[in-house]
Amino acid sequence: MVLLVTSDNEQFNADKDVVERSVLIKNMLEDVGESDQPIPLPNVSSSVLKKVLEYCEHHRGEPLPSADADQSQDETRKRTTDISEWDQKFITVDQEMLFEIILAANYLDIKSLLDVGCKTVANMIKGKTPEEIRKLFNIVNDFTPEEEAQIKKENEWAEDR
Amino acid sequence: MPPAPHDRRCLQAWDPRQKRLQAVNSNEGVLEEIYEKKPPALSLPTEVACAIFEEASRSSPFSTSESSLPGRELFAISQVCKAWRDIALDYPILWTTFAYSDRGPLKGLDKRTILRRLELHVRRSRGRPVDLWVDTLSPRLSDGFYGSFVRHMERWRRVYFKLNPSPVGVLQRAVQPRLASNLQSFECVPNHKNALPHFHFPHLTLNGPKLATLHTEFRTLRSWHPSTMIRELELEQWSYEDSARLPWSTFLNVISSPTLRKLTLRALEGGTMFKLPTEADKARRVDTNLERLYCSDPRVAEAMWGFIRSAQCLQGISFASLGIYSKWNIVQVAMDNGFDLFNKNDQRRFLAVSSIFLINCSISRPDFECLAEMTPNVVALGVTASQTMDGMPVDVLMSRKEKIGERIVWPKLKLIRANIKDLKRVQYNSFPKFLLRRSQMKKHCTLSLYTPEADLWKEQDAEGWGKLLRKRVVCDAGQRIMSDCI
Repeated sequence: MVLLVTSDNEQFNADKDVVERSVLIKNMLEDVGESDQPIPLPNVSSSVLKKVLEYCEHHRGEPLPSADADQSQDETRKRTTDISEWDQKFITVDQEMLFEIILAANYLDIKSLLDVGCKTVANMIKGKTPEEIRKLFNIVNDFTPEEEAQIKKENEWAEDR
Repeated sequence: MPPAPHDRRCLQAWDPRQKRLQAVNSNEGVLEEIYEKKPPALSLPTEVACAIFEEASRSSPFSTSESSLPGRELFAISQVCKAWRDIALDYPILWTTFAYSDRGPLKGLDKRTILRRLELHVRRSRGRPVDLWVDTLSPRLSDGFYGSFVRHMERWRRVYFKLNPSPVGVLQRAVQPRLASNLQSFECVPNHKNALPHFHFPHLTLNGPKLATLHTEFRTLRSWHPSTMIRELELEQWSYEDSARLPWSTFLNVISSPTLRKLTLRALEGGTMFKLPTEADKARRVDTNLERLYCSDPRVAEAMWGFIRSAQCLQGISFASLGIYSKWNIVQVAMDNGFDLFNKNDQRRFLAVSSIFLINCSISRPDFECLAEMTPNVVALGVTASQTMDGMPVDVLMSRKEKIGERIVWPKLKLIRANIKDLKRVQYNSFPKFLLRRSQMKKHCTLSLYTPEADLWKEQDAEGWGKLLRKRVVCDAGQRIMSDCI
């Protein structure tokens, strides 16, 4: 078992083969060797880690992306554009949690979870106008009127149709 | 010393005010914190934002329908806010595909805007190879795209042109002086028969050292260059004119190309791209490294049986639209080439062929059996469209009664992908019998159906489907993918 400590000082015990889906933790365990020392995760809160561990538990035993996966990343992604049913249900959370999971997956280096998160946000963006995207993600339009006019002119193709 | 009564009253009045002020101050802090806190979507590291943008704008016209051309999402993303715009503009990969089709929603947009967008992609992709996909009927636009093609010759990686008209000589001029150093795939097909692309083949291949895929009208082969490095060649026929047909020796030259692995010949219905072989052609020995052949040209489909000895690498054959406009003679041609259908030791067979697809073909029972004899190691068989199996009982796929007993056809067959909607009711009913019989004979084979067909079967006979599914003789192959057939 591995002991993990979150940013809000909560402790989680998890199986080694579950937590090792995180490349960051895997490397840390390899560096430290056999030890009872807890692993601090200052960038992950307890509520997020709980979700991350749920994901890792579900995907326990599945093959991890190989080291040379990056080279064929483009092709791989093309083939796996869909999110599995379980992953889809898992990632159906409020927006704040969704982005927290993405940040945690990025920090912990869990590629498959990061992919699920990115695809989910990408699907939310697809087919929307800039204004709809702003509204969806609570983003303020910080372009000056001049900049906006210039961009609109540049993008008239995409905008008008 | 205790405070004077007046001072005490003042202090009493001051105290709650002070507390209120402290509360306001602390709220201000909270407000400030709220004000400064970015929305989660803007707190992502740049590399994660890039991955999201890439995913959102991912849509390759080379693999999807033109209704989902990329571009719209990309431009929407770059208009949301300054931060997202900076990230999008700083990420060249996002801009490495330009696609345009003037059918549907983009019809009628002015030429200048479209070509400006293309230049924007070229600029923002910052020296990376760019994929270019264009389908337009507008002659003025065609000129513009050809101009851009020439101007940025070294930038293109994959190019698909469906243009009208194809200005004579433009492509030739384009590829002659410049090096298409990144060009890997070039597809140039006309939008109608009067707009045939003309370009001199050697210029294209010699100036495109990485060019491995070529898709064009078949007459480009007039200048086929033997030193080409093309691995995949797709040819379309756009004219029935006899005078347009190429000598059979051209076909022989093409298949002898040492690098060629995949050849696709899309002939017009009932048409052929090549003239009849001459005596010299017949006498010529041809070696080919071809691995996959898609053929709807009846002349090639018949004559190819003459290359049995040389096509030892051929693994997959797809036949399309054969036997409909004229008889597809397999037995006769095989016999003409000295093939002995009844001699099991005759080595003149396509021994490496492991998959055969029949798409919209009409074939007689003896020809079908001959096909099976000549390709004894087939593992996967695809059957699509009604004419293929018209009037043919499904047991032809299973066995042939001979004097010495029942002989199994395609003994290594593991998978049949059939379009069951096209099959007659009687054939549909005989499939289970055929599949179970093969299983009994320890020649297990699975019938793979696409979801709509599988659903149809389930709807008509849920129990029977369940039983066959448990015995693993049927399976649901999911949604149809046309490229499965090639």
